[in-house]
Amino acid sequence: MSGDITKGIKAGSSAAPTFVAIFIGVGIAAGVAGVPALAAVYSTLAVFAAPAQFAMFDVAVQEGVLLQVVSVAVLVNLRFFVMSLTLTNFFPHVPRSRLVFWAQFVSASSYLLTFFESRRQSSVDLFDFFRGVVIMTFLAALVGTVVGISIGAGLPALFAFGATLFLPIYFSLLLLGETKGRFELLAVLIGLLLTPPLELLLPGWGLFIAAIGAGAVIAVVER
Amino acid sequence: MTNLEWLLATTGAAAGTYVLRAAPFLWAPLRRAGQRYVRFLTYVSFAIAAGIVSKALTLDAGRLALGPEIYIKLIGLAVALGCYRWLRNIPLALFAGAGCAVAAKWLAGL
Repeated sequence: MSGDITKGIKAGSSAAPTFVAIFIGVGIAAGVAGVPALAAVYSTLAVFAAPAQFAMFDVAVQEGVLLQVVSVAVLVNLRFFVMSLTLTNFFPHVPRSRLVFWAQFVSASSYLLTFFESRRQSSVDLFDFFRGVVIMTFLAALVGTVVGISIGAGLPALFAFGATLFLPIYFSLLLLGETKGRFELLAVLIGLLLTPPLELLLPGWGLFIAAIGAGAVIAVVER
Repeated sequence: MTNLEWLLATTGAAAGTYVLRAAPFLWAPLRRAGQRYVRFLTYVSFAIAAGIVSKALTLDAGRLALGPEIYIKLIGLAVALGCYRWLRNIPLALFAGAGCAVAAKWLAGL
């Protein structure tokens, strides 16, 4: 295993507790929605996007039809398009045959951790780093789903609370170290301030809309 | 939904999601667009990271959660940021922050 994959695994291990906690939630939600255990594990393997999985289970509980379940999941996952678009800049020489497989594992964490690593201008192979993050976070997601299905709602609340804090704290630390210049700071402030109200107005879309809006406004101002 | 319907629904959702994830890597015009709008995408990335933080602090299951728990989360965040400034060690800062928040929640009996 290359050293850069190991670096990615180390970076991913900081996000792993949050992944376990979130996917425990997926496992519990699947049980509540009456989703068969194997189908819940399959959803993590195949979709690997907790918000979309929650949305799918929610539509199913409301007796939505198959097409509704698929549509809501795909719409909730639109953000992956922007994330992959950004990642294309970091993997310019990686053969498409390899990207065909690894594209499946683009998530907010694998994308953002690779993005922040790219800014350090180190000699790290970013594709290997990305794969390391994926290995760690994907395993954490699978473990979380299986644990969630097994224990149901019996997880101690204090444990769940602590685990969910790892990802926001980790991203705060990265932002503290990596934000440079007034335009990047402005993007951070817009993201911080606009995401919660927009999420309340348009659940599942607020984060995406605030980020696209921030990028568009600052790109225009910068010109 | 029956098992077969779940299989079809998940496969459909996975296929649609995969197209969104893979298209920019596999379709040259999209790759070029990624290169062209790199500054825009950089700002979007910062805003997404910041949005994940504020969402986790202020919302709980899609609802505004501004009760005492937000102060506990802020304490955890402040401890982590302080620890990182002092020690420059991310894992240590992470565990210090999350640990403090859990301890504060336990002490407050929440």
